Amino acid sequence: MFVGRKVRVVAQVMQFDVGSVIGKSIDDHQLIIKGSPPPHHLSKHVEIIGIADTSQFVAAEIWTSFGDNFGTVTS
Amino acid sequence: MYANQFDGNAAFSGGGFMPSQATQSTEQSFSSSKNRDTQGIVPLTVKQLNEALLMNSDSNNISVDGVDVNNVTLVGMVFDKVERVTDVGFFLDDGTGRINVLRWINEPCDTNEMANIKDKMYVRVHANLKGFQGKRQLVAFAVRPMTDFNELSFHFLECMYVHMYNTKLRATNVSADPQVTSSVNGIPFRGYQGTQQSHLPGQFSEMKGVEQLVMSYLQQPAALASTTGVHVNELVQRLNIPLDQIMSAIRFLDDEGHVYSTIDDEHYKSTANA
Repeated sequence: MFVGRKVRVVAQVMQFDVGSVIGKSIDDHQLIIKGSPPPHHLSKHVEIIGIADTSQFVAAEIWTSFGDNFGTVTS
Repeated sequence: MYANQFDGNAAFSGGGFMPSQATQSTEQSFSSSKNRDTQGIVPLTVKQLNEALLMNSDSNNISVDGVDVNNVTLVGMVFDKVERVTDVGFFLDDGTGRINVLRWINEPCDTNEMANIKDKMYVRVHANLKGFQGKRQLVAFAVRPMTDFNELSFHFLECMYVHMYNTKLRATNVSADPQVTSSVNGIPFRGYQGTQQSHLPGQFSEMKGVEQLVMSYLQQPAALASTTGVHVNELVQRLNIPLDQIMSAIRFLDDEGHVYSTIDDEHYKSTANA
């Protein structure tokens, strides 16, 4: 439904690959984020705004580090 | 409301600025901040705001979900930031739409604040809807970078809550100032503020007069904001009703789930927004 459209997704960074980052979405699906991450350190959770090539691939345009505690409950 | 012993005329005598009515009130003497202090701040999405501006372009008041809004808070990503001599402008995009925001630069602290804001940065904006040259403009009085991104999720949840609350109030025909405002920054919800009219939802229509009076008192903003609630003796004194009648009303309201005891059996709070 969102293939070919601009999407916004928050993913947990699992692994860095050449030219891409492998992440896990909030609903535990694998996401492959194509593009080079920004030069500064990427946190554990990142928000990607980009074009969804397929249901698993996103061509990233904007990367935003959402920190390591995004969505977690802190005491 | 606040009697003040301060003699403003003596303190400011001979100066270029003479605050009017300085002995009358402790409230701000600057008209813009005074207006801000008396109005709540409403969390909105850009889409809600754009639609409201479009629908209310001819009127003096902007309303969302039937509630007049003046001060708003939004979050989003900054785009196309432009720095000018007297102001900084940028577009705020929160995923639901884009809106132009203006921040006037009057003091060095304003410059410093805006210098930290960069394109593609998430920010929280507190702004006022001001009319300028015949059209409404979003004029920010605070723009802060987001550091904890749970605030982003929180903002949208808050927008949803306020929308549901205000539309539910309209559906139950609750009258007079049903505005729900942001709980961020400690500003209490004002769903029941500042009116002597009956603002209770329909199910309270079966209550007796004493119970309604007690509920009205407990639903004032100060009472809602207090963690310990209101002592029954305060209800006796303020409402001028005997203690046995107050306690009877409290027991009824407690049984119905409209109030609850807090620190002891003599302090009670309304369950509204509990």
